[in-house]
Amino acid sequence: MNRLLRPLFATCALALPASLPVHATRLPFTPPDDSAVVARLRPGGTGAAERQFRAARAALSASPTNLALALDVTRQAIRRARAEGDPRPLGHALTALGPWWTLSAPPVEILVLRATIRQSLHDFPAALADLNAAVARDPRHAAAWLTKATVHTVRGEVSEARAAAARLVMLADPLTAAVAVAQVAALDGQTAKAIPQLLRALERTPVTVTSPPEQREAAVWAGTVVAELLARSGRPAEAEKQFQTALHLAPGDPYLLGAWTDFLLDHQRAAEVLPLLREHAHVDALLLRFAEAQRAVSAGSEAASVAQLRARFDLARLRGDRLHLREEARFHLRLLGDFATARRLAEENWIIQKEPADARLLAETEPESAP
Amino acid sequence: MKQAPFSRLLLALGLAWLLTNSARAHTSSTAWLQLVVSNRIAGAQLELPLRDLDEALGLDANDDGQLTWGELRRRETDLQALVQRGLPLRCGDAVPVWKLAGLQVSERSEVPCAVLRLSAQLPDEPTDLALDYHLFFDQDPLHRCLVGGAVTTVLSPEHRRFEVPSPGENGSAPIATGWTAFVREGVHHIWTGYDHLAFLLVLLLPAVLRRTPHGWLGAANFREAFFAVIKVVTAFTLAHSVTLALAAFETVRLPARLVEATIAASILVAAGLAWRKTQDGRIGGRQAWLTAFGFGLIHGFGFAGVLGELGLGSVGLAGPLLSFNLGVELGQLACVAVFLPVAFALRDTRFYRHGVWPLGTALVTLVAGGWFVERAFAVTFMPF
Repeated sequence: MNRLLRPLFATCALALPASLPVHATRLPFTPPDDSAVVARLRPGGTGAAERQFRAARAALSASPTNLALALDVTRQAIRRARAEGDPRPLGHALTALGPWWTLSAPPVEILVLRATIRQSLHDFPAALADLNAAVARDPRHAAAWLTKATVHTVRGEVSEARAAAARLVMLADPLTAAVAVAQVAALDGQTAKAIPQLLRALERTPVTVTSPPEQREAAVWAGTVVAELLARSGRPAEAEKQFQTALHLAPGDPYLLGAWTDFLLDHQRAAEVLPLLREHAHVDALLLRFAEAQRAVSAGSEAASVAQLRARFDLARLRGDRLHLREEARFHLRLLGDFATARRLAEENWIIQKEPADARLLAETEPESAP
Repeated sequence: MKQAPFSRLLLALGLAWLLTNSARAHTSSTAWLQLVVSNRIAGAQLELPLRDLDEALGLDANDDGQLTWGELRRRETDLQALVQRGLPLRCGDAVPVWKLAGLQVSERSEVPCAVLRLSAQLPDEPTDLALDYHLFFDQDPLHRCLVGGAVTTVLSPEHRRFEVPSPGENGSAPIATGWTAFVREGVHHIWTGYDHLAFLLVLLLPAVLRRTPHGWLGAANFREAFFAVIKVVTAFTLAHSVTLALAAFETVRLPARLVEATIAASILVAAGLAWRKTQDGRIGGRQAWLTAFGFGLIHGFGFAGVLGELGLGSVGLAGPLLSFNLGVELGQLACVAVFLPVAFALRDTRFYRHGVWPLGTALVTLVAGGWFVERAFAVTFMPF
């Protein structure tokens, strides 16, 4: 009997690690009883913002062609998508704009929001068409010019981006204009002039945690941009100071966390990344950085995160989404060490996006830089 | 097992746990649909994100942001109505009615889902079966429904209709139709399920040999080798048929990863036992068929996982189950029919006794070790 049991026991012992949870997929099961929680629907809880958003959506579904209600729901949805790094609210925004989505000449406000959603879905040509139509009808529309500057910047279209940013100097507050100008400057390496301008604008616009959300958002954005520029110009101490100020204002901002943890990873401070991102692994771009930090701290400990990332990229490909090319290229480059695939994805990404981060990926996947 | 390495292993596992994250992916809304058509019944397994269901039906009755099993279960009638509105079947002019045959929950790509098992009675001569999918598009145009297992069709607001391929059409269709399709799936699975073949191989390789005081020699006659092989294959078949049936009808359910990792481990153990084949032909002190039977039980759960992907669980019909099993056996027999004469012919050569048998077993052991590490620790490094 013993001789039969021993191999069985050995098998079970070998299979033990298999029972460790990997969250990607769980086969259908019947929960033990009625009180078992099967889903946490709102990780953030049902706060005032959630109630306000729900009320606005309920009002809109009662009168779906009410322009003011549709604009309100769309703006809230876009803000939520950005703040939580969650693509779902974009679907809500699309629904809110449903009656206007296919119109060729909807109201200017709709055009600008439609462009913002299209930009978020990386449909840049359609976004630009909307924005060009918007500024043609209302040349003093600051949000339209700002979004236009951003989209041109993302696409690496320097002269168009500079022209749009120049408009903002006259139309927007000094801080917003300074960020737009600085982002363009970063594109063609003219950071020397942009950094002091942006720092000056930040100093003149004191923002605290009690300032209105729009002001805080602008300050966090400006702080992130200037910190990235400082880091790229070899001024890490000043960059860190700007990052810290911005983090104080918005500790959970996904874009800021991405930029700050990139800074930490670049400066061999991976251990500091882990506690920062542990609670943000639902955002793909931040899970990527988390996995890179795991690998740097203890090679091999990133296995589960890598499996998770792979599953998410696979799902995106099944769905036909193309929002993750930059992250996917970096995933293959830094976590899988697959140069060829990373190169292919980086090139594919370069067709759509041409920001400094995209250029860096392209450079790092150059055939000459392969090990 | 020695004390020190084990505690170090535990420490490593603990460290790995500390380094993990608390993730729930923020992904766009995605539903998963599997369809089976067998005779005059359409079966479906539909997995819907609970967040979307809550948005559509307001499931969270006490609005505490936590959805309980009871809150979901009590809304079965509404779920059935939602499905009938959201993905009506079309069969010529008829609209067959979906019945909710079972409700469970699952997790798909880190997203908690409700699993709806549906069945619909089709007209006598089902023709031009199609499905029109509209679920959740009104609340989220970025919603997508992924139909099928290996081959996936994506349903979107622009592409809502899914034409169900009729039986006899190309086998690569994303759904299985008719019992011949299940036989084909069974054959396909055993031929491409390298782990099952590897397991059989380590037991079959020494079957044409016997151990003597002078070392390994070929079996005396074909009869001896033939019956040794038949016993192994039959035992394996009986065992995995039992557990396949248990799992398919959901009497027993094991976590997929555990099953897959144990299957890999079973190859390792079987290979180890085969090395120690004793002089009277016993393997590991028992007949080889006992090993085949014992581990065949685990392999059956593996087959059940495949059937689940094909959507059989949704119908719970005996027909497709038998067809699938028949396919597995046919595929297995075909392999044996090729293996046995060749191995028997070569059994007395040095090439077989010192090459094929030891090197083959070693190679399979190595590959199985790789599979085990992959499956147990959720990493990927093997090319297959």
